[in-house]
Amino acid sequence: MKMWFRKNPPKREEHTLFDLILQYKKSGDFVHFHNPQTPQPYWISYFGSLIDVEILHRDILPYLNRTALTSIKDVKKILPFEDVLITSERQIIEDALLRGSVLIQLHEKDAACALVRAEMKKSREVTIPEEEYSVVGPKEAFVESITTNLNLVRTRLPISELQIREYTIGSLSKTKVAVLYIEGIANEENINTVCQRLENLEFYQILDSSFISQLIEDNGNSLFPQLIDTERPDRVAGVLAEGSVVIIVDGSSHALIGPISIMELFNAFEDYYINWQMASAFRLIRVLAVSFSILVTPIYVAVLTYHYQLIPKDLMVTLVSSRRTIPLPPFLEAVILELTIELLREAGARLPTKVGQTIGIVGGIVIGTAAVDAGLTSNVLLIIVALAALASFTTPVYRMGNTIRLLRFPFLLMAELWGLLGIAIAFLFLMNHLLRLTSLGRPYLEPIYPPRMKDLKDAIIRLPFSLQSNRPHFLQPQDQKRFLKNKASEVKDIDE
Amino acid sequence: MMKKAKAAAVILILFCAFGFGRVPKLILDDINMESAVGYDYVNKYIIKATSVLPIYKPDKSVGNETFTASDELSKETLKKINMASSRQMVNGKLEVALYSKELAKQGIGDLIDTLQRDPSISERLFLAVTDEEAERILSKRYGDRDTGIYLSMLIEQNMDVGLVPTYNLHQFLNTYYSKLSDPFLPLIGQKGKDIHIKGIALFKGDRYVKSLRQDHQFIFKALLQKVKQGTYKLRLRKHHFIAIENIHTKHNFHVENKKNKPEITIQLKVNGIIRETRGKKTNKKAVEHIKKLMEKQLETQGTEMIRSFQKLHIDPLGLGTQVRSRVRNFQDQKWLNQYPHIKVNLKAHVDILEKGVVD
Repeated sequence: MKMWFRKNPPKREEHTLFDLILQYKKSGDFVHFHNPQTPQPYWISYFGSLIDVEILHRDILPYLNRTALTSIKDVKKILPFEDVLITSERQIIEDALLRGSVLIQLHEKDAACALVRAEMKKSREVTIPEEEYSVVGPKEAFVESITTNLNLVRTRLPISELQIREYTIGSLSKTKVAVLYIEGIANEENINTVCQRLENLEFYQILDSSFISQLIEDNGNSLFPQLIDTERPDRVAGVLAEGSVVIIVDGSSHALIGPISIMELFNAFEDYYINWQMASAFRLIRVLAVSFSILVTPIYVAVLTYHYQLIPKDLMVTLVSSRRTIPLPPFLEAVILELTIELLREAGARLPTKVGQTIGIVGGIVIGTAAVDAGLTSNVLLIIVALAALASFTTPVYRMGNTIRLLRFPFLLMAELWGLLGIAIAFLFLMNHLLRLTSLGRPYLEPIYPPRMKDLKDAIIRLPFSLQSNRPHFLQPQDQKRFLKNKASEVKDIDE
Repeated sequence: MMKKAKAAAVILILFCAFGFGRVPKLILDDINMESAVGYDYVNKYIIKATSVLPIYKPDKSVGNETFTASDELSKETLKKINMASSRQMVNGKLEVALYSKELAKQGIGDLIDTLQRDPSISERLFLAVTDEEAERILSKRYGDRDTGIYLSMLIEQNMDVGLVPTYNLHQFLNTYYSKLSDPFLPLIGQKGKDIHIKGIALFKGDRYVKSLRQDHQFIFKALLQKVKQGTYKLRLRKHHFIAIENIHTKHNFHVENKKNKPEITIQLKVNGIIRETRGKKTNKKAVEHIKKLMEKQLETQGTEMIRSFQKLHIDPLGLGTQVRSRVRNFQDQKWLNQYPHIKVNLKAHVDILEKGVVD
């Protein structure tokens, strides 16, 4: 394990191309053969597991067999490829071979060779988004191939200003990472922050974009996501046009968006596809659901343990009679139920869909009713905990849901310790953390603090497009105007 | 170094929090919450307290339990009651406090004091005076809820739509501590098996003096606050009455001759609907007649009532505070001396908005 973390791999001594081939031959999937029957004999080597054999058979071998080659440079003339590379640079050859090129030599010991790209392109079909599914709007989701993903974005933004910077990160995985932004809109500072952080990144393996987000986030110890991961190319195109910076990682079906503010965690991209009244209502519901989800169980515990005065007299009968036979104090009761729900969620997430449904039925109905019948939990708390769990799933960003479910436990503990005062203290700590948090150096709580009235138009509520003539202020875009408002509101009759 | 200091601070805070920061727990199902308390007169020094507490059963029905104890201090009675209770007695859900008439005659100021000092007691607590012993009223069960909740619902309902002015502990204390006004409380009595609101008990300071006449209740409420859903029984002739419903009232004070001897004019606006009458149809002329009659009746009742207050030197309507807010350099003592001889004019204006569906 230890050698994976070594920052500088030991330098190999310089050796010839032939030595390289000999070394690669140790691997079972490396093919190295000689064809002496042709007009001009040649040597061919490639990794069988990386190249597309069809290309080799159809586009390379027939041409080589037919023509007599005098020098290696002739390969460029006879092969129907636009980028045949003639080189003797060892590093380039090594990289190209490992990315699926075919190496052609005229003699086995030649230093110069021709490299022809014939990599196997395997990628699954573009499917519908599953985590960020929306009823209205396009139904394309990113896949694992970076070329497909970039294509999905570029087709939505066919402009020359869309810039893509590529990096290779990971000493073992050599993962391609692309940074996307629109020149002239995105703030230089944001772009530079992302690029610098990626350049300075030294890691052994990048398997998914979540690796990148964990490594370059402003505060790695925070529960809150500081970059949004999305699987919707339309969302990516949308935020690029606002001035955000997007990171796309090869092998990952999620793109990263930054900088973000906390309000964007409550925004589903579907909000832009439905009219603004509904979108605003849904966003309000989500904000309410999140606060409800975090606070309702702690408040239940605090009120039942310390503040019996707060219970309205009409609710008293229901609450007291449901708790009369419960042997546990409210705190333990709540913790056990919360853990049960977490258990169900975790078990459901680890199992295949069909078994997961059974888990839901067993957990929800059988355990739930049995626990109430046995007098182990009160049915009021059961309803509260179930509602809180349900509310935590309303967040459109999956990682935010996890954050909310985990946040509940410190609140519960404080409620048990000091009642409502404890909840207030926990809330202060949370607020303190959020106020200090930044996303790529931009304040995380932005439209709320620092207060930016202009950005409230697209935060908790979403006003109609006609009022959104400016790009979000917190991204500090180079070009503030989305469109010219007075021009847009000109009404032209059809017969004019 | 900084990191170590931070870690030490966190550990210290956590240790203090868990070690010393404990608040006594009052878990909902381990406490008995008294919902009503009643005080009775034993002798000059000793009072008898009766606590009612609801017993919640797992099948969602509510039982009732009553405890009684006597002592010099009302807080001590709670302690004595606690000795007889299986769960800790707490008073944070107190809804009603009752004082027997006999006790109220001796003054209830000291007893109110404990309610006011205890932070867990709501300011929206209802106070009332009972016609007989408070213990007798509290030891019975009425309706399907426990007695405390029943009493509070009874009083609250009568304040919302009945003839009892909205009045709770907060307002009682306000008028009690004010030099210029005197408190009053609803008067509760038993009628057969049921319990009902008999009227209004008038206080001078903290002592009960007299109860308000039955026919003065409407005008009393109308002059204190806006009546929103009142009913009024208007006497046309002997044995002929009319019911006016949906009454909305509004009143305005005007003070003249501010320097020497103030003269108060109260303008009362009443809007109502005729709902029940006997005899023939009510035409325009009849409505006009009813209107005039009602104005006259309200004015007589009002003046009569205020005269009786002046005779007793009590001011439950808070006329003094009304004058003070309109007069510069107001002197409390001068006003108190003048009060019995102040001229108060009442001008009622009645509007009949509707007289029924068919008519």
